[in-house]
Amino acid sequence: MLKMKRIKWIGVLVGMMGFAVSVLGQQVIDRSQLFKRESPYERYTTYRVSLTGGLGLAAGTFSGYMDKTTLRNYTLGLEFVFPKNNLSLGVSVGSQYFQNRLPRQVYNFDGQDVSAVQTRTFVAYPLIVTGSYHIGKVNSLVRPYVQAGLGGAYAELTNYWGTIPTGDNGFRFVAQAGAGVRVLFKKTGNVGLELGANYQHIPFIVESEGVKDASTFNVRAGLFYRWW
Amino acid sequence: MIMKVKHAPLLSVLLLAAMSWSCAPDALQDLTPEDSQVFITNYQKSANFGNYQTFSLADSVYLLQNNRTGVSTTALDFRILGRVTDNLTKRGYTRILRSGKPDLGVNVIRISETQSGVVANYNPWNSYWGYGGGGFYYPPTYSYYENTETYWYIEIADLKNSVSGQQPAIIWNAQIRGAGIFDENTLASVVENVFTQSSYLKRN
Repeated sequence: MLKMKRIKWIGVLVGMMGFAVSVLGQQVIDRSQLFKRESPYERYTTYRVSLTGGLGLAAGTFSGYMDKTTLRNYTLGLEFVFPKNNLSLGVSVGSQYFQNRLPRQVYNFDGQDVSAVQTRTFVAYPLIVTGSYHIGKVNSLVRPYVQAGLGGAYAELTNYWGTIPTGDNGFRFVAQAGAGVRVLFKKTGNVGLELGANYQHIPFIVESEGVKDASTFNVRAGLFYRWW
Repeated sequence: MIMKVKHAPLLSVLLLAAMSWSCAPDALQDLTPEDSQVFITNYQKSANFGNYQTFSLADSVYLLQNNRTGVSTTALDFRILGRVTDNLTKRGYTRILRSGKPDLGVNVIRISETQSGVVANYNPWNSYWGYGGGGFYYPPTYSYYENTETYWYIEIADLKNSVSGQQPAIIWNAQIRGAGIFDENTLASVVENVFTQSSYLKRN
């Protein structure tokens, strides 16, 4: 009985020593120093996801085909945010849909006249690799940025004459350039407001419509979330 | 592809978002039958429509249905033949019998064209969704579509300058396509449209 008790005590003692060693093994930080450490956003590569939507405007030769703007214009982006060099790298997927209904008129071609109500549409789903450079440190409340992107898109231009579709579709190259600003709601927060504008160039030739490119100017607003 | 497991769900979300957004809205759902109508006229630029005086018109409508042919004599067919005759008469031409050697031969044809094909469905919300266990890389499903369009076709042949043994030249034709073109009440106006946009088609 006495022997059992002694063994128990030895066990407790060994346990306590182990705990003491593990505590001593850890880095000891003074309480006053604890809050002066860099935040994880300044130490590690962190993540940011953003969802934005807004106005799309046809540009270039595309504007001759599409003189209506759109609000069906969304982008979802995921980025790796680097801590020291103000850069971020990511991918984004987008969805753009333009539509314009033209009242009935007679279109005159060589030896041909066509009377129709045209419903002109354009849809694009770009998948882009983006790179951004920010002005201001990673934890700044307001961070303006410039961004460039390259990728591909599935694009489809369909001009319905009545219900008869004409046009083209396929995968096309995409280039983007833009600028914007991200504003954190709280200094150390994860959520913020994102505002941005970009120019998107898609080479897309539809000779019958006089379209050589499906370029758009986009202004978007939305939210971003960052984490580590 | 080497990738930390941590990002797999996020990339999946991106993929899913891309796929669910791929459903383009139906651009034509609010198109009225009247707005769906398309009137197409072609003419031979060298033809001088003032050089002709008479025309003949069959007393039935021809049917062209995926390479099969026939004739039709429904009430609607007589009505369209009447409308075409009226319009040509208004333009100064005189209808005579085929045996009277008319300058122009007019045919009214109802064409049914069936187009078919196979389209790939990338819609993730189909019945295949349940099988993959949430995987995104299942193959697209395919559906067969078949679309039949029936429309009016009117043509005018130049019999005056035709050489015997040869097909007479078609100097004017019109297609009337869209919804509501076989409606008795609107037939008169849809026929008139193809003449209205062909102001050159007159004797004087």
